[in-house]
Amino acid sequence: MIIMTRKLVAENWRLEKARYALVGNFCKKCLGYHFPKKQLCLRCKTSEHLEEYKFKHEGKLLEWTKIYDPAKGFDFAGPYYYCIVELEEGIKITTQLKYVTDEGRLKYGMKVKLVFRRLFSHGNEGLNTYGFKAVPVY
Amino acid sequence: MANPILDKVAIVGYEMTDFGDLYEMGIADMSNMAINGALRKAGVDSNEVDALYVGNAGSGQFLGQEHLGCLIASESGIYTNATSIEASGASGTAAMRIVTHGILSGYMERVVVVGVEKMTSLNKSADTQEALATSLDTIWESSMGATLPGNFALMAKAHMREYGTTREQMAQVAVKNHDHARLNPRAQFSNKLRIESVLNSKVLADPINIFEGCAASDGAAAIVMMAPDVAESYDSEPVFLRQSHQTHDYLSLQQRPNLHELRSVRKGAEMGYKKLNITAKDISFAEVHDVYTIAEILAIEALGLVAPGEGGKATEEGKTSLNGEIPVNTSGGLKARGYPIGASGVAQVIEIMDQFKGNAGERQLKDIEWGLAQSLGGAGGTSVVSFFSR
Repeated sequence: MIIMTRKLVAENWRLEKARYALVGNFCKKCLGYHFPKKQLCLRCKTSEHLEEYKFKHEGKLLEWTKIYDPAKGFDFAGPYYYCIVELEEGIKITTQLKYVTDEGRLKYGMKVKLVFRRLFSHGNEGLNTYGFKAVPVY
Repeated sequence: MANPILDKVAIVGYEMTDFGDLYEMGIADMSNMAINGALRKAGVDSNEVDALYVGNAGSGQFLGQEHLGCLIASESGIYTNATSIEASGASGTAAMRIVTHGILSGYMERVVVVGVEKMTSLNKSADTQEALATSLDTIWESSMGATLPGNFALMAKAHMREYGTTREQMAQVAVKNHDHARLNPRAQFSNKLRIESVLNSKVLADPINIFEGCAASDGAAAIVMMAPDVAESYDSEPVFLRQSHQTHDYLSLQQRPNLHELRSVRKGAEMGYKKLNITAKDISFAEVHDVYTIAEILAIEALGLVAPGEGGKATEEGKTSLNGEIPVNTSGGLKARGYPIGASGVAQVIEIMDQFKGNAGERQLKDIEWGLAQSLGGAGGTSVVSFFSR
């Protein structure tokens, strides 16, 4: 009964570049970065000065939590870490944090890199959707 | 011409169903009971109703039912225009606020607002979490693994890091709200909650445990709103909605500059205080959106009821308890009165009505002047802050 955007094939294909390669855009006029990509710069209100920009796959870890009660589609692999990462360009994203061998070593502001992983699945009939996740750099 | 900023709207009749697992009733049944109960108490005939506004957050998700305005009007015997308003957890108060526009412009005189949700038909936690997560950014939060408690957990960690707020202080919000709910016959939970039980309950998203959040709940709550001159013939001492401000922050947490405050709530509260020429010190009591315990702490700080960073400490010291300086969630709050999402904002207003009308029984407050209701959509993207007085 519940139809979510993230199950829809067309929606997922539309997001492919952003999810797979972290492509957003950069406004040459206001020097602002956008992720996800905007059709018009939110400040300049025009597309005239926008160019595609591929974000660096590095940043720092801000807040994180461990989710024990996941939503459907995320219940295939037990509890997982979920976090906010600030990319080198200053843009923040939310994602999962993988390969946490020792939570005690996680620190606010520590370096993380982004890797390509499966984000979620919807059983045998649904899509597997892939995208970026963060990994701590100790 | 009426000035929607300065003028006021009367609330006359009000009624709500019990909150909880109402297995015997569908979404239209609950609405019917609340709507017609409120009309009966107000002494208004259903033919006199100019409009019906429904506040609902997720009937499409929980029940596969949209077009609620028409459904609920049909099933409640209200044959007038009916519209459903969705703003996640703030749906009920957003609907109430929109009605003030119609009444203050002179276009409507008697309007019913019903908030309603039917959540208990989903039987798996993962399905409920999926439905709740649609109030976040579906693509860039929920698809990345976010859940509603997960987002509040990030805010809790930010608050703990910034101000040293403790797990015990957060848990105390749940303990206090259960204590209040014990005095409210309509509450979903009337059990005493011990702080150890909260701290030892199952983790939803670290540091938020299951007893710090709300259970799935069904329920409906309705109010009848009128122009003040019309209200005179129905109630010689009506309660008035004096200000209501809907404000926003970025939908997704990653876009916000910080997570240890609810900027949307602060903005709405400041607008209200300024227009009414009062301060937070004038507020006698408040119903706030304690969807998770941290949300109440963030709310009382953003409303200015306590200083930034002092929310946890104030709760621990009993300042927000029934007999404290500023009683918060005398109804039991979302936590213990129950949180049928779309109904909860209207239920907050009903608690405020009960307090002003002297109908609050054992939890009755004395010498109250200003009541405040605050509700949130999602993880704070939408906020509605409303001020009430006699």
